[in-house]
Amino acid sequence: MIGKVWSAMIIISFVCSLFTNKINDLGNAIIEGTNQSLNIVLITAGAIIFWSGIMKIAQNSGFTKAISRLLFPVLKFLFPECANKEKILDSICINIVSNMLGLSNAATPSGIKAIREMKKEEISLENISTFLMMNMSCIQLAPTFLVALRKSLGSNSPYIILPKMWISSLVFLITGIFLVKISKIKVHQTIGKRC
Amino acid sequence: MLTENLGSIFPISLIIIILSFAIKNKVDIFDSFRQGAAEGIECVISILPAIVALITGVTMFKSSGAMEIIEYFLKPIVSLTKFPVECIPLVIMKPISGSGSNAILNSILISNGPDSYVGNLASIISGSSEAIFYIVSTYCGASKIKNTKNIIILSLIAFACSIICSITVC
Repeated sequence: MIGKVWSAMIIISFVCSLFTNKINDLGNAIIEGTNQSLNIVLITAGAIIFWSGIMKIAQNSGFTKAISRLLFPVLKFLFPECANKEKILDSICINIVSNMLGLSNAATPSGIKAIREMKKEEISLENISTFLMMNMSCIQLAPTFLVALRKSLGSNSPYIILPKMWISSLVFLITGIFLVKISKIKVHQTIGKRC
Repeated sequence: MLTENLGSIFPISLIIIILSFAIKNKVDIFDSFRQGAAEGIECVISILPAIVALITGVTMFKSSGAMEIIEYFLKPIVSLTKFPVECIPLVIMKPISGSGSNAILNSILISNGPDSYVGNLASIISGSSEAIFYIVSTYCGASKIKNTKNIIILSLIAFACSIICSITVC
């Protein structure tokens, strides 16, 4: 999918540059863009590496375990079928905490692990959908990349967006879970058994 | 004062809490940090190819004037709502790819300034959700779940709600 979008973007920009007579700018953009991309990675790399390190301390010190005990009642409500399957809940917790730190790339392995185990235990698609919604809404308590990017572009208050961002994420999560719950019957009847 | 500084207080206090947990449970803090940081480097390297491809693509798209043409045609429709036309490409790209939307966010922040209304709104939109299609394809692909049409439709509705919310709070 992204491959198609990407190639379409380049082809459209070529066609447009013929009309707007900006073929020179387009040529320069290749150099500029490659330069910029490395810059962004370098600017944000430090933050990502730092938070990955902190995350590892959190895992080793039992912080994620404590969080998972804290989250347990919520998770039990959201994933009623996984309530006594500790392995699944553990993976879900690591996934949620990594997402909260804005390390969505680091969250992917634990997410895949959780969802594989859920499938193996024949957890219903409704529960799996809820889990996917949690990943999509991605409540980032410390959005590593975003804050580093804003700071590097000269923002005076890179953190100011955080509370508003949490509200938007929560709206995503709550509507998402609500939609999954009300469409439950339909999901079960049409695809629940096949998956 | 608290709401202003909440964003800064949070990450710092998180680190303090994690460190105090580590000290209490006698974990080798620096060794754990180095382990995790090494994984972080792998993570950075793994996103590098996509970032290079997409930021170059977005820069080309912008410099060719294509973005202005799209904005020109969408402006009459979008100006009926309070939504700034600069954020349209971000909203389109966000469900498809995280790196792609980061590339667009970068260009919005450069041209409008990170502290402007548009810059703040773009940051909120890009921080409040994840790439829907990407998550469904990787997670369901890895676990061989096939019928994903319902979940995509439901999450796109939720995504629309979160964007409306972003405009309201920003």
